Amino acid sequence: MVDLVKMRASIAEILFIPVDELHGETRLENSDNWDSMARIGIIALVFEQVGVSVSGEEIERVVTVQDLFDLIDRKIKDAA
Amino acid sequence: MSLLTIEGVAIRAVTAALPERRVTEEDFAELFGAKEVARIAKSTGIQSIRETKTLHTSDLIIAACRNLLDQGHAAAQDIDGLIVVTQTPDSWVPGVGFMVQQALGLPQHCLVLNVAAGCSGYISALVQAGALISSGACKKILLCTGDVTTRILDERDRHVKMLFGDAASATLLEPGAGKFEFICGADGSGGAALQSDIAYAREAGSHVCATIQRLQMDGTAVMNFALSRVPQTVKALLEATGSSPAALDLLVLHQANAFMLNYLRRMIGVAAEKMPVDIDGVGNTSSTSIPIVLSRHAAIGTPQAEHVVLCGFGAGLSWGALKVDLRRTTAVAPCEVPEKTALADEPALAPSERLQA
Repeated sequence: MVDLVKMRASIAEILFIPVDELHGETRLENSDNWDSMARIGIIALVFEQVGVSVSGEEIERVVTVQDLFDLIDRKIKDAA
Repeated sequence: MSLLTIEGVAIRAVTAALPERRVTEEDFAELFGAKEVARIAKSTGIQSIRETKTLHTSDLIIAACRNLLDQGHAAAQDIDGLIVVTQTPDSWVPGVGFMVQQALGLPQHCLVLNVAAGCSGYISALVQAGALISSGACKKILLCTGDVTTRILDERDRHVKMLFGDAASATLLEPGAGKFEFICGADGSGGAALQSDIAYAREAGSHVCATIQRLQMDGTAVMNFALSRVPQTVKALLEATGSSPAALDLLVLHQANAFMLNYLRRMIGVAAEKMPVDIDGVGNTSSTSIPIVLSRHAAIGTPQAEHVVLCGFGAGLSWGALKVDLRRTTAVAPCEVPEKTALADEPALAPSERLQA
């Protein structure tokens, strides 16, 4: 079972922002911290928590924090 | 993936050589800003690296070999096999192995092999050395790894500049009661994930016929590769040898970065104290990272090093995990190699300029 609260905290940690500032509409492309290291962080997080790979292309399509939530949600459903 | 075994081989001693010159967090902060440097270092576990501006790969390898031979485990004239693994050779022809043979005074009947391999190279070279010893072709093999990876990086890319470091290692192998149990694999379809291309171009009137592209790394592809292949390979090796993460004394993975290692450790299910992370102060040193860990780990050469698994993974893409008993292996602390002062202020010459000089 994927722990969504823990996952949210991990995403905030990867983006270097407080978890209560993690809003769906936040645009990652405007964040200096949304770099290759953060993208790799998300890939590792999803792989460990959900057990599936996120491709480089999938992660490149992420624009907002909501896109990231949707991507992870899709991966959880695919893995179920 | 199938288990293979080589019997009758022992790793007698292992050491490393590090350039004396450090690039510190303060140096990085001047280039990329203190806040950004702190963020990257927190994730990679690398606050400083070793970088040489004047030494070649052969200089570092020769220093590592001398550091090992000085311990008296073998005399140069007894070495009948030399394997050198590098991706940053001093010259295109001849291979670095021949320079090392000459500098160390190894005998002319010594078999010299030059291997172009990256982060999985220590494992594939151990297999090669083990096979040569087990077959009786060689009695004493020096297995060397070494790279000056910082020379082929894009200096402006903070993610690679703060990741890779320069180093070399030397490992002595002999006939013995031990064995190597291993699983190796390769997938050339992932070649572009870690790549340094060569462009051949002959310009009229120039002695230069090729240029080498800076190292390109697709971080997401490498991460996906490591997360899927490394736990799978280590677990397959443990299962095939009737072992388990709990039964292991030590699991030494290629020291890519602390972030990746922590994920891999949790996925493999091994205790943190059994899986060393020894990367800060040196950086990711490609095929040299595993021997650096071995040369500095207190368990090597003690009863606590009976069940050791080494696992390399990287360019190719390629991977290999090898189980070995290191209770009777001598870990020789790495030596430090000073910069070449006489040449320090001189710019490196292009091959054409060297020819004309």
